[in-house]
Amino acid sequence: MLERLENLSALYANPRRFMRLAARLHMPLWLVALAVLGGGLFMVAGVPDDYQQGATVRIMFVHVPAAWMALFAYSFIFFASVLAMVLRHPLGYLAARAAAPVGAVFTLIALVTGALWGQPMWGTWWVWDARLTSVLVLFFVYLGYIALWEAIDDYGRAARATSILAFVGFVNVPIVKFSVDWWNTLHQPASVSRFGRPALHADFLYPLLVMGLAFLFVFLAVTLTRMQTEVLRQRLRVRQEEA
Amino acid sequence: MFAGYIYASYVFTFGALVGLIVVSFVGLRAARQRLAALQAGGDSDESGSDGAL
Repeated sequence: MLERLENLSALYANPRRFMRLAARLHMPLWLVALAVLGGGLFMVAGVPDDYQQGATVRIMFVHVPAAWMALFAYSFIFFASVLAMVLRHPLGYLAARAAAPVGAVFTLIALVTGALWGQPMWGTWWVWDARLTSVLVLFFVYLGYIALWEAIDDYGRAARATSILAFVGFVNVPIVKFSVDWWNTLHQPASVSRFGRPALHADFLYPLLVMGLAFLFVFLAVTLTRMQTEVLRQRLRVRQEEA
Repeated sequence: MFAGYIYASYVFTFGALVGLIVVSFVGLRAARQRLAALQAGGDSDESGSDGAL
């Protein structure tokens, strides 16, 4: 029975090595995330007002990193799903499932802070332009992905169905990224990742990059925590099936 | 002049992140407790049957 249990758990999660590694990484990762976030906020506090936008430029330091993480998290889900479906990596589905709520929260932050930035700068909370609409679609894809995991009881079927949704939804990621180049939008084009020199002054660029790094560490720390939870839930499922 | 928008952005961002972090840790703790309870129940069942034998 023990051998069968081990085979089952290895089939779904291969948890032991991962849980040992996660236990070691967990606290240092959280400490690094909080330290970088604190450093980023300290840098943001010293940022001067923009000559056009005034103090509202400070919204950029949460809005832009959240938007980066919204795309990064979905790319993470996509590659984890590829790893699971194509290479049969046992942790792929767990990683994708764990990252989805984190990505959804970052997308929601990008949408809400974007509206709060848009109102004073553009005179409107929302406009149906390509960038804003594609990010809203991304948020709905996240919600659909999370709902699909919850809607199907059988783990294997849920994993396959959500992976297919992750593949289909990934089409939207380059649309979000390049929407400001492909269409005329009210949203400004890329300022940091454009070829050549970034359009931002160093006073704004470095705090923005540090906040981006901080949000990345927060994403990794929360996702690792949620992956540990998923592995434990998987063990629970296996034990309950065995009982 | 636009301080309300800036404060609202930061409050929403960190409120959402703290909420996500709290929910994630609560989920981890609940999963640990449920697994521990199941293991404890399984162990006591096994010891009980051993005792019966």
